[in-house]
Amino acid sequence: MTRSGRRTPGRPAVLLVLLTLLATACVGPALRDDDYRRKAVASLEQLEATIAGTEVALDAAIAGRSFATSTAVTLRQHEETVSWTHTAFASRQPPPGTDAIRAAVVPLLAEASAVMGDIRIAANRTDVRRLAELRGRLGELGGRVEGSLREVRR
Amino acid sequence: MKKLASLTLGILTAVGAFIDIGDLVTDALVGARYGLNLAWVTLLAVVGIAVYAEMAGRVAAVTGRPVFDLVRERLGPRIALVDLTASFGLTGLLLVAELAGVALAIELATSVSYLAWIPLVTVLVFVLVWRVPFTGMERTYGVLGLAMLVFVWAAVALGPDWGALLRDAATPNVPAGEPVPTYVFYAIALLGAQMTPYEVFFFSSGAVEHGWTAENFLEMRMNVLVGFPLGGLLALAIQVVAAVVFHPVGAEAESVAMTALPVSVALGRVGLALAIVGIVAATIGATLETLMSTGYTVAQYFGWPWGKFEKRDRASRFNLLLIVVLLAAAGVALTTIDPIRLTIFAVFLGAATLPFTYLPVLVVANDVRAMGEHRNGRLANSIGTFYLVLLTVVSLAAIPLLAITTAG
Repeated sequence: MTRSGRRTPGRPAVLLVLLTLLATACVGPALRDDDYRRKAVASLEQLEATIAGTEVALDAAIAGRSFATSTAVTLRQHEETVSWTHTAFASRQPPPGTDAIRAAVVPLLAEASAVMGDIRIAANRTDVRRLAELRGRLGELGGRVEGSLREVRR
Repeated sequence: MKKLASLTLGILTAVGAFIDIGDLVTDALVGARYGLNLAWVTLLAVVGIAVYAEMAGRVAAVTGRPVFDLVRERLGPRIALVDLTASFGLTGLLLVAELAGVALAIELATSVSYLAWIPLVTVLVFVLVWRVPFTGMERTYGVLGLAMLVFVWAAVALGPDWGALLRDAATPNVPAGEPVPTYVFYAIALLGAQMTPYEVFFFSSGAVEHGWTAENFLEMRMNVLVGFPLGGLLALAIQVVAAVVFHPVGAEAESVAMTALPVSVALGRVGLALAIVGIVAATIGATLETLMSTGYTVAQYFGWPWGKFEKRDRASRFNLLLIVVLLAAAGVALTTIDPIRLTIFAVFLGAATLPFTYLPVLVVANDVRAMGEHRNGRLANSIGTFYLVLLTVVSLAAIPLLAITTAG
């Protein structure tokens, strides 16, 4: 509506276009290689930070310094973060020429998601020995994430 | 002992408002991400909030009317309505976050999803507001909130390199690889978390609930001088433990669970238990404060009878509003909206609305007719004006930054 109260004919069309753009933004392809690379880096950084936090939580749990309940909550949240990061990046349409990035990042995110699931299960069972095993696997995975991050940043 | 008990309003305001869910999360987040690089914001916030809380408390003690009561009279109904809308909306958002914050802290002790706890927490808050007198409320949660001192204990127990931490705090800079807008975003979020408008509304309304007069200036100032620096100390302790445990390994801390984790690293289960008690007490205190503040501001704007000192049937609209707001907040919290993102968003938006809260306090505190000989002196005005200019700049920068950084 204009100030005089008359309806502006173009407004609904503009609104419709904006809503369509908004609705398709979630599933639309990344426009440029740079955008896709930037999103890959952000996903790996998120993964790296979550793995580091999980390692701190696991060390406290293995040393008997935290409650099983709080450990379970912390690890469940970290699993959700990794799972969300994996889904969000994997569902992104890669632009041509970025398949190598996708091939490097998606399997790592998937593996991390699986490891975090195993950790959550072990934490819920208060299986400290299994947690210690998985702590080693997580450390090794963290190393690979770091390497992959260096590669993708190039 | 009596004097100690009289400090509980300041302690509740500091522990419940300064250390609310917004601060708990933001402190751990910035400590993990920037070390002590943003500690200067906390120092800035402590001085600012103390100066303005003193002004608001003084206004309430001299005039017998809390800040918002005078805002409408001095600034006019239209400007006051803008202030009311901004404050009410923001405090309502924070209430949702605080309710979820209590539930998240209980989840840590039980591992039962926080969503299951929200209805129970809502009932508890209703009972507290309905049945417990103001002083009982503030003493219980003020004292229980002192369990948060476990973060100071944890900071000492971790045995950090204090020299390096002090150097980090004294020479703030944007760490390599960190975008400047994101650094500024978190600086503003921290300021918003620590200078939340409802702290001032609650403190000045609490002064009226206590029936403070000019004779209680000493008590009021002691509350300000003990409460807010205590809140600042706790905030710094949370930043320190996050900086020591998370920053070197590059871990992210964006949850209540991660806020408490450094305490278990430092002190084991006893420390973690104390941290959970402290977080529950602080967030319940903040829930009570945000809820009461929504009622205070609306009732004071419209001139309704308000407060726990009034008989319930006389302050019926105030009490009904509290019930409606509490139920609405619980409803929003139960939608599974991410409480942590909501918190960060709310404290950041809070920073954008800060001048709306603090300008009226400064204006009224300078009003000769209302304040007489107790109006602001030169020092209070100089510091108050400095903060007002700063908060206006922050307010203008906030929205563009929100867009540039996509909320951090």
